[in-house]
Parts: sequence; C-alpha cells; structure tokens
Amino acid sequence: MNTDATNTVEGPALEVRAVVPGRLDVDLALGAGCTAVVGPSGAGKSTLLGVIAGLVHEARARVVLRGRTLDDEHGTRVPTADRGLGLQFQEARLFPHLSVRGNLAFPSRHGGRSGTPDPVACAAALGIADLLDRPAAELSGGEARRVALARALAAGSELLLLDEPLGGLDDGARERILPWLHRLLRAHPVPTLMVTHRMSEALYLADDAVVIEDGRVVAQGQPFDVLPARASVSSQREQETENLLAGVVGPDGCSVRVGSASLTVAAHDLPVGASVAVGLRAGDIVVGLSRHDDLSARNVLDGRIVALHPVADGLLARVDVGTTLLVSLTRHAADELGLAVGRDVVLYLKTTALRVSPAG
Amino acid sequence: MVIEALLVSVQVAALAVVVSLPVAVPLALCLARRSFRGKILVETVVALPLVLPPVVTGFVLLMLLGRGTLVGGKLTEVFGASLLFTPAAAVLAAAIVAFPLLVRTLRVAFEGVDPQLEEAASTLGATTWRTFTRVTLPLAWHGVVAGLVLAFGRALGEFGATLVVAGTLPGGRITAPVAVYRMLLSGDPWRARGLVGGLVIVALLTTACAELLVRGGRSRRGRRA
Repeated sequence: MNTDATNTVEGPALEVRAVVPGRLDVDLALGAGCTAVVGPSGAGKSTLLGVIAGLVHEARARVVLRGRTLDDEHGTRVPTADRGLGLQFQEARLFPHLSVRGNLAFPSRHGGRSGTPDPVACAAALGIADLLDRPAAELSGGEARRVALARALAAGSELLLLDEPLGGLDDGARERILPWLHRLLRAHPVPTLMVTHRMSEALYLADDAVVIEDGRVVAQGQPFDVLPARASVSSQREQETENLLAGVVGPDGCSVRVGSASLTVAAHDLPVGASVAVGLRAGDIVVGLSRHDDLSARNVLDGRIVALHPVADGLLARVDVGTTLLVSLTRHAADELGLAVGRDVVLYLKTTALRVSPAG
Repeated sequence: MVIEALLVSVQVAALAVVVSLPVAVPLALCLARRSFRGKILVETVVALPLVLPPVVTGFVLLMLLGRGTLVGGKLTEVFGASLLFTPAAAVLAAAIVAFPLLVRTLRVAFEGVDPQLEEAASTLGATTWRTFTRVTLPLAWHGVVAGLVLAFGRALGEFGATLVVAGTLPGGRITAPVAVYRMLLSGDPWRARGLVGGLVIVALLTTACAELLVRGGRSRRGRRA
C-alpha cells in the first residue's frame, strides 16, 4: 500500500471507490487532467462529487488523491476543509451576508491555500469585475454562478470539482469563457472533475470522460470516443454548439487558423493574431463526396471520417480535417452517400455558420 | 437601595446569560442540525424550567445545594461554604429559568441558516469553528440577538427560584424583583415606585440595545434581498 504523500509514479491521480446505497456504486481511476462526468439527470454525478468532497456521510468510500488517502474503509476521513478542494455546487451557494469580493476572498482567508488562481483575476475573465462590491444576495442567477465558479477555482489547490460550471450562461458567454477556462486548467493543473450536459464543453475541456447512468459507470475513455455515442449527452432541447475550436486570427483578418486548417469567417473587429474560439453546430455542416466550385460555401475542407456514432435522430460523424469536427447527418443521407469509417469526404461550412468569439 | 438592587439584578441576569452561552450554543446547534437517539428526551429536559413554576425549580435547587445534601455537601467542601444565598446561587437560578428560552430561540435562529452554505464553507477550507463564526453566526444574527434579549429579560425578572435560594445575599443585597416584593409587603407599596421605574428603564434600554445590535449586524453584511 502506498503511503508516500508525494507519489511521482505515473498512475491515476485520483482513485475513487464509492458506494452510496441506492444512489451510487462506482470504481474509478482518473488522470491528472480534466475528466468530464456526463449522464442523465439523477444518475449520481453530483453525488460522486459530494463523496469525493467528503460531504456524503452515508457513503462507504475509498478516495486516494495523488497518493494521499482521503477516505478509506479503515475509518480514515480527511475533513472536507483539509482536502484542498474547489467545489462548485449545482447551486451557487454564495454567502448572502458577504459581498462578491468577500465571497471570492473566503478561501484565502480561511483555507490559506497557495498555488491557486487569483480570484479577482478570475472574476475579470468571467466578466464579473464590476460586481465585486455588490452584496452576493443581489446578483442574478447567471452572475451568482460565475462568482461561484471563480470562488471554486480560487479554492482548489489539490482538486477541482465543478458541477455544471457554465450552466445557465448564454452561448456567447460560454464560448468566451471556455477557452479561458481551458488555459487556466493548463496553467494550474489540478485533477478536475467536471459534470456537464454539453458535449462541446466536454470535448473542449476534458482529457477523459466518464458516463454515469443509474449510479454506475457505463463508459470511460477519450471524450471523442465516449461522448458522441451517448445521445443523452447532447440534450435535444438545447441548441447545442457541438464544435468549439480554438484558433488564431489569420494575417488577412477574415480567416482563422484552426490546427492545420484555415477557415474563412465573417467580418469581425478582432486583431490579427488574437486567440479566438470558433463555434459551429454539427448540423450546419454539409457533407459531400467531391469538391464543387458552384456552391456559396466559402469553406471547403477535405477530411476523412474517423468514426460514426448512431444518435437519437440520425448519425454523428467524426471527421478529421486537420482538427476534428462533429457532423450530424440523417441516416438516409449517410446511406445515400455510402458514408463509412475511413471514407474521404469534403465538408462545406458556410461563413455565417461560424461564430467567432474572443478567447478569454 | 434602588440603584443597588438594580445593579445586582442586571449583573446577575447578564452573568446568567454569559454562563449559559457556552452550553446553550452547542446544544442549540446540535438540536438544529442533528438527529440522534433520545433527542426528544433532551428537548423535554431543556424545556422543563419553562413550564415548571419557578418556585419548584427553586425547591429542587435548594435540595441540591443545601449543606446536608450529596451535591451541596460536595460543593460546600470545594468552595468552603454553601452556595445557598450567594450571588452564585442567584446566577444559577436565573440561568436555569432563562436557559430554555435561550436554547429555543438560538435553535430557531440556527435552523434558519441553510446548511448548504455551511457545507460550502467547509469545501472552501473553513474549519467548523470558522464556519460557525463567519457563516452561521452572521446569518443567524437576528435570532441570536433575540435569544440573548429574551434570556436576559427572563433572568432579570426571575423571582420565584431566586427567592428560595438567594432571597438575601451577603451584605443584605437583594435582586430588584425580590426588593419590589418586600416593599409591597412593607405596608407602603408606593415605596416600590422608584425600583419599578428603574426596571422599566432597564427593560427599555435592553430592547433598544437589541435593536442596535441587529441593525449593526445588518449594515455590516449589507441589505439582504
């Protein structure tokens, strides 16, 4: 048994074996990066976060974080306050008697944690810098969620547990915040569990994905391998932007380089060389078998189908065009074109379908 | 005489509240947050002095503290003298009758604080004590002040039990209600007017202080929506 606190051996950064009668029964080994936790409502995702945080008293759990045992069957139970957590709950849970600034400063005043991002800088990046002196009780729902995210990020010196970090935010805000969050998680690398309902968030931020249904892990692996196959991930009611690509504004100003591909985008006022996020819906992409010059679409990309996943209302194709794009198709269209894994295809993207937002 | 009796009463009542707090706060928190076997029994025992005639409480105290009794004998050995008819007995009597009001009000105040916020504080690194002082107490402030005022008021007015175990204190000092009672019995009830007026003023000052305390707490944490 490894009792060494500084475990430098390659291995799971976080091991969780947890049983909560009637709610959860999982055995997970997670990496040091960001793991997306997905699954239908009530599947036990939030319970899993609660167990890792030491908040679920009826849990029988064994939790080992980077070689440090937080919980075990011999009665070890590190107090929640000493776990170095940043936990963003599903509800904002701001302290109503404190200002936004007081809420953000709470972890540093009471935990004395180091190596975490500066909460005021986080607040600025999250667009809540103007609210610092407002009483937390007077914020709107979306504002409160952002404060809660900044507060959790500032507290998480060892582990981040984010329950729908961008829930309740509009698409524009999400697409601005996602690249920033991505960079932040790289700059302050702590094991992160992120519950999300949105495939784009999982694909963009996570290195690993876990699917939980009825309290059990039903799939675990690379987000691109695991997620598109779960129709429940992408809620059909929401207007999900499945593809969110990190890019840089090209030299001519109206193109964006994404990986090895260059995309023509609509006019914008961002400077050359600026980091941007490009949002694109899987349903806004046209698939062809050969290049046509007589179409209005300005972006024509050659690619190859890497995977085809059946989803509720058709198919979701993963196409490698130098970066990976998710493309949705009807079964009928896929049959007619004879689409299959390994097939070379041409993707047509309308300029107006590409939404460019500044990254962070 | 008037000032002295008022001073004795205010001191006894304040001390009674202060010595009750270290027991009342954890007990109220425990009753507000936890469920455990025998909780109803604890609640009943805590509430008992509220229902019992104070004279009965005084009788029980007399039996406990008297020189010839088991507890009283031991206490007499420790302190070198019986506690009966000392300021300690007056404080004890006042504390016991005020205790149920203090615990009940504190409990309701703590129940009004969302335990999810305390959970959030713990995830942010706050120890149990810090969570209490920085989250629970400020959010329950209104009710806590109400509890202090009620308990102080009840202790200030304590008469029955006090008469039994601390009717006269060393040096002939007596608490204000006991003094009023004696004046009423003296054949000239009008003599009690000064002391009665003094008690009214103390009561007014107490409620005014409570209002200031509540407002202070409120402005410190901003207006709550």
